[in-house]
Amino acid sequence: MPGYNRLRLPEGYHALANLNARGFAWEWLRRNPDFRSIWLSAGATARRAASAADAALRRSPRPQVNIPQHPLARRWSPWGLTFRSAP
Amino acid sequence: MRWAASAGDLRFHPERWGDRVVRIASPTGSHLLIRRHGASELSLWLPARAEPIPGGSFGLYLHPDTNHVDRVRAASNFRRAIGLGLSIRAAPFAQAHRHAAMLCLYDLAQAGASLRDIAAQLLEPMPDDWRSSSERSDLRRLAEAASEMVAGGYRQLLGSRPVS
Repeated sequence: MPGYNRLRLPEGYHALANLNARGFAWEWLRRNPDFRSIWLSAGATARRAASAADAALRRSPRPQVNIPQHPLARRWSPWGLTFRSAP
Repeated sequence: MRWAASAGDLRFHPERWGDRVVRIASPTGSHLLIRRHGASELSLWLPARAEPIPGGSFGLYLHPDTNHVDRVRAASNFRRAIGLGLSIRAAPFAQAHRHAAMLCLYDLAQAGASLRDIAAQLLEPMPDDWRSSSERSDLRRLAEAASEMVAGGYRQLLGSRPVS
């Protein structure tokens, strides 16, 4: 589709161009109103679990990291993505 | 399942398949994300009752349904990703700039901007005759494609050969 190369995008969107296809899938999904509503209605337990998973991935020096099942896993599974951090 | 012959040298050692392996538990199995420097991330779905024994031999069953071609490609990618055959190098996403532009359009529209407002912000120069311009048609198509992506089109990006 022509045209998009002529757009003067804000800097943050230029940075998005480094994403792979899966990264863009996540960007689109986290804008989905129904998916967002799941997260917005999530309780403190779900938010803590997401934060803990993020922290484990960032800080663990071990080559294998095990992330326990997220409290919202059943609700997120139909969306086609492995659960990730907050939208 | 009993194999007609030896399953060969495939052994289930995911911890050896990448520099980093992330196992994420889910209600019906586990996701494995296998990350190796310079290579595409390999994601594996391990159903709870079909996960190979750690260290044990295993095989790949390719169901001959309408997605068979994709399954064959996925099996080939898997084999390469675990170090058998040519390694898979991470390739840039060919449609990245288009998707970045679509995300920008979508976010501006969600913030209440009209297509003309968006054009005024992103186009330099703004076309003289906006209503009949090709730029207006281009932006409208991009905006429509963005809405389709949000509504579920993102799934097309998740296969072994993502479509744009």
